[in-house]
Order: sequence, then structure tokens, then C-alpha cells
Amino acid sequence: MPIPFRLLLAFAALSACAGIASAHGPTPQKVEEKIAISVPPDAVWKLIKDFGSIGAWHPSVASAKSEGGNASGATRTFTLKSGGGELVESLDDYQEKDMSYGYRLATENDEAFPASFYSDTIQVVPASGGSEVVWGSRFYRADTTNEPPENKNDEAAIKATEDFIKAGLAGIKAKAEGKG
Amino acid sequence: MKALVGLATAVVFSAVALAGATAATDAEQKVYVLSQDDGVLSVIDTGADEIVGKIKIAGKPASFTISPAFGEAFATLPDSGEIAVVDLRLQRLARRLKIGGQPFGIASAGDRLFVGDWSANSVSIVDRQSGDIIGKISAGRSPAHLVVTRDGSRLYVADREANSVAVIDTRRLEVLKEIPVGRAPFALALSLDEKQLVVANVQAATLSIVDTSNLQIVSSPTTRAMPYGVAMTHDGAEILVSNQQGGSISVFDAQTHAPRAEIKVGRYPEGLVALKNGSKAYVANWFSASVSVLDLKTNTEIKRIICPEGPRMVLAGATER
Repeated sequence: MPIPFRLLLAFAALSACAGIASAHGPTPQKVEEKIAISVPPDAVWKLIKDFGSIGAWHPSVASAKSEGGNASGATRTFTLKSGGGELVESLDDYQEKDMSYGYRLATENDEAFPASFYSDTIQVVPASGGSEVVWGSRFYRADTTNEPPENKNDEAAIKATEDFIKAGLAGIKAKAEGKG
Repeated sequence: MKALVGLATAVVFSAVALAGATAATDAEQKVYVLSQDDGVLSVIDTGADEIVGKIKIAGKPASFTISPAFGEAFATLPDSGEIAVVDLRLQRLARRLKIGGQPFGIASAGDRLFVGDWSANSVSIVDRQSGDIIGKISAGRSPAHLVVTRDGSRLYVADREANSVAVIDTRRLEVLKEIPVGRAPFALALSLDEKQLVVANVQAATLSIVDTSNLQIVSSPTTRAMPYGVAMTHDGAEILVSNQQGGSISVFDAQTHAPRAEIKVGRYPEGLVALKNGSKAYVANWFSASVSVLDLKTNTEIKRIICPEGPRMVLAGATER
């Protein structure tokens, strides 16, 4: 989606002009995205409820494997089509009745994804006309010192997170609506 | 007569405040919330449970501490290597101390501030007035939060990347012991009698409860996922833990170390604090940009106060006079 990113660039430019330091210390960032899906929540939940299922619905994921099912501490290991090696995530909080789970980055790999840490929550909620999937992330840039290189700064982490979540939500929608 | 009583009260209040304790009743007690993204210290009136003041701190203040004796709050600015000093009575920025580095965790005792440097792996002792660095101690890796005893003699530092808590003698500038705890300790709480230290280990999802007389871990109860904040009630009976991943607060019995209750709050809760009489607690919900008010008698959330973006830490202050 070009608009938020353009806004971000505009903001970055503005900050630079105003003389505000572009480097931030250990400041967590957040991204939240939602998508409306025209099928009931149960059907959407069925598609994503298994923590290890990400390879089946996320279009940016090249391959995925998992261990431990949906128990706390379960892991999923996947590679991205953009390369960079494996990312390992572990499941923290699984709420079947809320159709929600929370997980975190277990093994940092900023070659694959420019964040030193993230913890995410994904949830299916009822909405008029079907359902909505809400995906939120709290994360830190890859380099948390005061002088991060461009590919490891807050902007890089925000962009990568937004792109990954948006692609994932679009993938869930396509699958759930039978277009994937 | 009234004036005399008022004067007597004032004398008692000052004496207690100077001793490092606080004599505020809960009705008078303020709670302060630091919002990192918006750079604001908000003042909550705990009678009405509403924000009654906002103090702008330019930058991204990460953590803060309060000196009841001086009526000041000290907020760390990791990006600019500064400490913002806020006059809590006048509710305005008093001065900025340029200390350099990447200050994160902070504690105060008397005229001294103890400030961790996230990337230099050290703790500095800083004069609260001038900002001069009086001493420096190497401590573990990525010092997160720290707490100091009221007399300022002993400092406990959560060394996040070293998975340990450093115990520091601040007079000799020496590390007395590195206590191995769980993975990624971040927040600490010291009981009022200073006999019990509670460490929340984020990645391990455990607490490490330390007996401060012998620096031994007496218990390591399991928590929910990602315990990011910890507080003790004033009477020392309960330990409150914020579960960042589950969006809830767990209430632990401080004697048995068993969980008693779990209270749903906003999203990604971090810092929290209990009022002095134990009636209520306040939780910073980072993702939701709100503060949850908890009734500790019924263990329920009674209010959610919208606040500036990025709240990570809440502290209770003394009365403002």
C-alpha cells in the first residue's frame, strides 16, 4: 500500500528538516492492520488456527515447519521468498474462544527480517458481512543502538512489518473467500 | 487552632518525606504515567481517576523515577543521552541533564541518580542537580530497570542480555554479586521492607524472588507469557505482574508465590503500580495507549483512562503541597 509508506517518507523528511534526531533508542514500535473478509469468523479461524499453518496462507512464506501444535512454547520455523534464512517464532498465548493467539520472534535473524524482536497478536473477530482479522505487532528495530544503519533502523522495521502483515492478511482473505 | 493543626501536619509530612517515605493518603496521591512516543508525563488524580495534568518532555522518554523528598521526577532520554527533570509540584520541566550514552533504567536516592546505559553496559551515579557523573560501574549486558535501597547503598540492576541481576555496593562502586535469574530479566520490584526483590524474566516467563539478606533465590514461580512489569503492594502481601502477551495482570501471593487472580487489561501492558493503601493499581497499556485502573479488593478493572501514545511506566507519587 503506497499511501502509508509515502506518509512515512514525508514524515522522515520533515523530521530531518526540523533537525529532530532520526535515530531512536530502545523505543518499541507498533503496527496494526485489519482486513474485512466476507465469510463467517469460524471459517476464517479454521484456516489460521493452527500456529504452524502459516505456510498454507501467507504468500511471502516460502516454506514452513512447526513443532508442538498449539501449546504454549510451540514453535514455527519458516523461510521467506525474499530469502535471508530461517525465522523461528514461538507461541505464547492461545485463546481458542477469542479466536486469537500471540507469539514472538524466538531467534533473531535480521538478514531475513529487520527487527531485533517482535511480539504479535492475531485475532479473528465477527463483523457485519462476515469477519475481520486484526493483526498487531510490537517490535524493535534490528540495531537498537543510537546510530543504526539505514537497513536496520525504525523505518526499515516498520516497513518490513507493515508489508509482512498486509501480505499475510491479503493471503488469509484470498484463501477464506476461495480465491487463493 | 486550624492553622496550628495544619502546621503540625506539614511538619510531620516534611519529616516523613525527607526520610524517603511518603505520607500521602490515597485520596491525595497522584499517579504519573510516562508515554514514550508522545513524550508526555501525565498526572492522574487517583480520587477521580482522571488525567489532571500533562507535562511535555521533548524526545522519547523511556523510563523514570520519582524523588518524593525533592518532588521531582527524572525521565531518561536514550536517544539524546539526557535526563529530563520534572518539577512535580509546578508540573513543568525543570532542567535537562546531559549525561551522554543511552540512558534507560533509572532510580534515585537522596541527591543521587542511578542510571543504566543500555548499550555501554554500565550504571552511572549522577548528581540530581548538576548532572555531574560521580561514579561509574560496569554491569552485565543491556541493563534494563534498576532499583536502589532507600539509603542509596545498594543497587539492583536487571541485566537483560546477561540473564542476571547485578547487586551493586554504591559506596565502593563494586558488584557484590551477579545473581543468575531467568532469560531476559527486565523489571524489578523491591518490597517496602527491602527484604524481598522480585525479578520478572520476560523470555523465561518466570519470576525470580530473591531474599536480599543472603542474595539467594527463594522461589521461581511461572507466569503467563512475557511478564514485562512487576510491582508489589505496599503491605508486601501481593506481587502484581503484567503479562504483555496475554493482555492481563496476574496477582501473586507474596508469601506462597502462588497466583491468586488474573485481571484482563488493555493490550501489551507494561509498567504498573499499586496505591499505598493497596486499594487500587494502575497499569500502562502500551499498545492501547491507556491506563487500566484495577480494584485490588475485587481484582477487577474498574476504569480505563485514555492517555498519550506509548505508555510504558507508571509510578505513584507523594502528595502535592
